[in-house]
Amino acid sequence: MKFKVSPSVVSRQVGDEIMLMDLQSGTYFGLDPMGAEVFRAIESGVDPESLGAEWADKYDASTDQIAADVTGFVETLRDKGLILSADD
Amino acid sequence: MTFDFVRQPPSDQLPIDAKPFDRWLSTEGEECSLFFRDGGNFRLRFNDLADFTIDLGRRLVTGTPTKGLPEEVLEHLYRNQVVPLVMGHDGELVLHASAVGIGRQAVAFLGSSGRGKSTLAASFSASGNPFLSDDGLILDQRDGAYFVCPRYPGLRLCSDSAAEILGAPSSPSSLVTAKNYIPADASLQHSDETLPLAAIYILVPPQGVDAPQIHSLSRAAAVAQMLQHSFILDSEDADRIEHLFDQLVDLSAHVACLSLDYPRNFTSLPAVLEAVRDHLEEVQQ
Repeated sequence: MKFKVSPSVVSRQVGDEIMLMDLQSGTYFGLDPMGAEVFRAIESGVDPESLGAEWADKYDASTDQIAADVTGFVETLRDKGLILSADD
Repeated sequence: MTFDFVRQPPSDQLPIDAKPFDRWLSTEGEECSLFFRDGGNFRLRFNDLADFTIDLGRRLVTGTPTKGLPEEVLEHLYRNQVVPLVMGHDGELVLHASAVGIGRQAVAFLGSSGRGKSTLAASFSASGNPFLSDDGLILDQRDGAYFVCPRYPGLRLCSDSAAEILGAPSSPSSLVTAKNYIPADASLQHSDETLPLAAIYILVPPQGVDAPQIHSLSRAAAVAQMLQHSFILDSEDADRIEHLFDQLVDLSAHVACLSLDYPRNFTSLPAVLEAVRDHLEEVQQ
């Protein structure tokens, strides 16, 4: 499934992290390096579910583990209104 | 940026027939300030203290104190709360922080009300490092460096801090506030020199440490803290919020941001001053 960043959200690279700010709610979040990569993938229109196989070697973890971590992270972003389904 | 300030006669704070769009809470979680829209302008209510209307078009602030409010408290609210909000709205970078000069540089202490910003500023000042500002810290950015713009030569201190640090008589200045306004003098030195900002020390909630603790912060953590302690007049203005976000991201790239915790008692203050001075020497190397 593809997603898009919510229109009210801006992102900035701050040191090693990406900070997201929801200009509508005034809330902000910091993403660690892996979270930042997932977010950048979403920004680029990449389906995050495709990242599992690609990242298994990179992060020395199983494809299933990567997929579970990415899925959980994407759900968090969605729950907080930071990303929307690309069809919305 | 110039605004005219007009004082109205004291008045009771009548209910406002509108819903606030923002509010400030004390560290205890109590509502202390309310923000209202008034056409294209703003109305601020500092509960039990004063109301201010901000007419941006006419660049006019009107202050109405509650009955019995000392003039100095109204003046303090205007200078250290309203003016920073207006300046922030105008695009200036203004933080809820105090600042002192150490040598040829400035350091800032950022944090919520009651965390010790003014007490630290007074303690440094009484020991030879003049304070530059209290409460509303205005920063000027030039060629990648940030400079502290000095402000009013006075601090607001709790009476026990004033007595302990300055030997001031312990007397309440007001029935509704617990702080005294202390003007600068020989024992409380103020400097009006613009100095480059070398470090921002963010006063964290006391963790019960037994000695001063200074720790590096990630830039993202520092930006998050500075967002919490910025003066934002219109929290619903997305463009201004984004501009502030960019300002703070840039600030975090050019000025060291640290967390500071220390035992919250007066006997520990000399050790805090020494720790900050020593740390500043490391930052400068």
